[in-house]
Formats: sequence, structure tokens, C-alpha cells
Amino acid sequence: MTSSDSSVLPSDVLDRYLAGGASRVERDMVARWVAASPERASWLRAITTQSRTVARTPDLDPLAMTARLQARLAAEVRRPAFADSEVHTARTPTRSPGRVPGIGTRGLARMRVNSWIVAATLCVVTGGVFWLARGWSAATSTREFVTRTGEQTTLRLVDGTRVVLGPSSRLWYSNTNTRDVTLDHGVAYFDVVHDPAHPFIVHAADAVAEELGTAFSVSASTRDTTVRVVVANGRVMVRPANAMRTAGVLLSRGDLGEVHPVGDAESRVTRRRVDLAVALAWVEGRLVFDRTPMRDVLAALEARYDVSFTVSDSSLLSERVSGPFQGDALHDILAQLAAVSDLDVTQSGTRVVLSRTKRPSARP
Amino acid sequence: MVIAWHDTTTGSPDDLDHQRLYAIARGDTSAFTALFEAHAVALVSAANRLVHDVNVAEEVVQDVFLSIWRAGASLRVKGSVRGYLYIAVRNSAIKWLRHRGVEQRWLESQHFPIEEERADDPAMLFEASDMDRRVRDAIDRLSPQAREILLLRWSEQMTYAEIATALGLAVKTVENHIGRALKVLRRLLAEDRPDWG
Repeated sequence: MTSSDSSVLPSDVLDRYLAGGASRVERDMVARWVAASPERASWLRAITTQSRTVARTPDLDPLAMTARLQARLAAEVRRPAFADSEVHTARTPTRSPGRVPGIGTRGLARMRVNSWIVAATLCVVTGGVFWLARGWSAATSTREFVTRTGEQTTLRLVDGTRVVLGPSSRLWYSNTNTRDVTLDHGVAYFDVVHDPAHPFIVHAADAVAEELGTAFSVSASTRDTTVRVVVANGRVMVRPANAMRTAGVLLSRGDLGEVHPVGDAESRVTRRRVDLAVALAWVEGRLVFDRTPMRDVLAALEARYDVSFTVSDSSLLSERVSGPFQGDALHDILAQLAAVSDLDVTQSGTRVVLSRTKRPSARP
Repeated sequence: MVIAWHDTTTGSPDDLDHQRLYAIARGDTSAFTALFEAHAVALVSAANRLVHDVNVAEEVVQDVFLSIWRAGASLRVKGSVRGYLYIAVRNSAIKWLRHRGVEQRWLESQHFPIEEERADDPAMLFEASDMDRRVRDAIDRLSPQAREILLLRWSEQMTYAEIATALGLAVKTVENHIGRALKVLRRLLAEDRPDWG
């Protein structure tokens, strides 16, 4: 029944065929050999299917298995995303002489500063040991960084992210396996090392900013609850914290996103273009404004100088201020502010009162 | 993610796996997931053949992958990544069996009934042809080592070298086992059965 050319099939050819490594000529040989006998065909089919059936456990779901592995990776490994960050303080000289703190919030700020200095020193000395000792432990602790009035510092988180923390700011995070940081108040510039699996997320007042490979600044004013995000590079997703369902607004280079609180309802996010040289001037320690509301200008000045402002007329707070401010001395800055905004500026100690310049024509 | 990997690669699947290991050492979680996805079904099946419990088998494979993640840059795989994964999974499964042996002896000493499980799929047997059943029986009658070699070769389509790595055997031993298994299977054909002519 079988022709001579198809009756003999070397075992090594059969083996290579079954292992998927046969050449074209060898596959033809097998095809001819099988075609000569129905029994050979069912035999070869049986070997292929049975070896696979025996080899593969039925009903394994690769996607579900991958999800379970990822869950274990997250739950078990729990490598703190930036456990015990190194702190490289590049403090700019304090602009105001260190006064004896008053009572209230300023005193609190000073206390935080002290603890921060201690924490930073501790970290520099024991950083490496600390990290080893922690290992994979799931212990959660909070790290905080606080800058005082007129102080600016640069932090390097363990994930590689560089943070410039502006004056009078507080940034903190918990040592978990996520990269979530919170800016309580003040301003911070983030140069983020992108990791798609571990998004870098900044929480500030009513806003959440998620980086998508990027450098950006976030500011949370103490005077109002508007959060501002300026993007220097890449993209950032900004959304109101109280609205997880809202997709948020995607910002790209040169965009300013503002999250405005709107009562109890969902916060509104607006986006507009800004001049990066102006919006990020603070990173280099410069004071530059561009149609900035007075309330933000005053907040920026309070962050830099040990003063608190009072306005005679609350409508002043909404007026816009533009231009670079030259010099470091507070009285120079106040003189320039008075000139550009037509204001009378009265300083007594740490209190500065702003009022509209009284002009004869202004009052009927 | 996986598509991006294929875009940047022109080499063999094993080159791809080596690239993934390199990325994993640098903390790339997507490469980690991709490596797992590529081998999960085959590895869990292999572990299941030893431990006879799918859940345990999956855990054994998870353990191996998590240890790869933790090893990071200190992990050195010289030969085939697939071979390495198999040997790691086998070792891990055997360790589990030994550990369970300890537990089981303790359980037996406590006079707990041990349930004996037989994992035959009735539906599969029903649909199988006569030849299917004979081939399956022949595979079942092989020694465990010969069976494992045959499955890695014909189902997972590994090279002799990969199987040798995975099972800690000489390449020649692998070759001999395959040759003998084929001879046994060929006897199922009427033309090759000596007694039936």
C-alpha cells in the first residue's frame, strides 16, 4: 500500500516536526508520510493534541493570573516608592533676619522648621543604614518637608524626582508603595522621573495633579483655596479631588491649570496659557508677576518675607499686578509694589497695610 | 506594552526574554508582567504536574517571579531564560512538596483523613478517539522524567539544550529519552507493531 518514499520517516525528523523546528523539506516529508495512511494521520494528530493536553493544565486564565501576580507584587513587595529620601538642601539665604517668632501660625511654622532641620540632618547621617534596616517592611511613616519664610530648598526623592520647595511650604508623603505627595500650602516644582506603573500624584487642597512624564509646579495659596499647576514639560492631568468621576483637564507645556473651589459642588478646573519664564520664575528665586491677582502677590511676599499684609479695601485683592520685582530688600519690593499698583504702603514691624492712594479726583 | 517590546526586537523569543530581564533589573514592571504573561500557562502547568494542585502551582510560579523581581540586577541568567524559569519553578515546586511531606506526616500522625484526588477530565475522555486514548495511555506509562521531557519538547517546543537546563540533565540524555519515547509511540501504529506485522 505504501510507496517507498513515504514508508520510512526518520524519528529525528518526526521529533523536529512535533517540536516545531522542522525545515520546509522535512515538513513535506511528514506530509507525504501522513497522506499515505489514515492511521498515521490520526496517530500524529493524537500525539500533538495529547501532549498538549497533558502538558497544559486546562482552564488557566493568563490575564487573571497576571492580575493576581500584580496584586502580590503590590501587596507583598511593598517597596516604599521613596522611602527615606535624600535631602539635598540648597537653601537660599534667608531674606529676612530671623526674628523671634510671634504667636499663632508663624510660631507653628518655626517649630516645623526646627523638626525639619533635625529630620534632614538625621537622614544625611543615617540614610543608607535606615534604608537597609527597613527592607521590605510595610510600616507606614510620614515624611514631611517644611520651608520657612524666605527659604527655598531642593529635595531629591529616592525615585529620582527632584523637588524645589518654595518658601513657606509644607510637603509630605507617607512611605507606601505609591508616589503620592501632598502640598499643604506653598509652592513646589517637581521634575518627575516617569514610571507608568507608579504615577506621581500631587494632592493640594481641592486638586489632584497626576504627572504623565513631566516637570511642573503646584501652588496652594493660603489666602484662597485655588490650586495652580504650571507645566514646564510633558503633560499633567489635573482634577478636583472631590470628583474622581471627572476625567480632569490635561495640561501640557506652557499651560496653567487652576482648580477653583465652587462651594460644596465639584471644583471647576480652568486652563490657560502662561509665560513659563514668569510662572516659574520663583524656582530661580525671582519675583515676577504677570497680571497676577494681588492676593497671590501678597501670599508670595508673605512666604518670602516675615510680614503679614492687611488691605484697607478687599477689592484690592482682585487687582492685577505685573512686572519683575528687583532687589531682595523688603522695602525695595514694597516701593515697587506701591508704584505699579498706585498704593499707599504703611509698614509697622511685621504688619504692612495697603490702601488705595487717595487722589483728590478720586473722591467727589 | 508587549507590542512596544516586539517593535524594538528582531531577535528570538529568548533574546526578547533576556531584554525583559534587563529591563526588570532596572525596575520595569511592564517587562516583568510581559515575561510572566509569556510563560505563565506553561510554567503553572509544569508546576501543576508536580504538585497536583492548580492554586499551589500558581503560587509556586508567583514566588519564582517575585524572587526574580527582588533579585533585580543581581540576577544573572546565562543560558535560556525559559530553561532558567523551568528549573526555578521545578525547584520551588519540589521544595513545596518536601514541605508538604512534613506537614502530611504530621497530619497522618494526627489521624486526619487525607483526601486522594484523581484529576481525570471525564469530558475529555469521552471525546477522545481510540487513538487519542492509546497515545495518552502510552504517554502516561512513560517514566515521569521521560514524560516531562516529551511534554517540554512537543508541547512547549523547547530545544534539547533548554530541556537539559530546565531539568538539570545532559543534552544526550534528553535526546535518548525522546528517541525511546518515539519508539514506544510508533508501536501504536499497526505497521510498526512487531507482533501484528
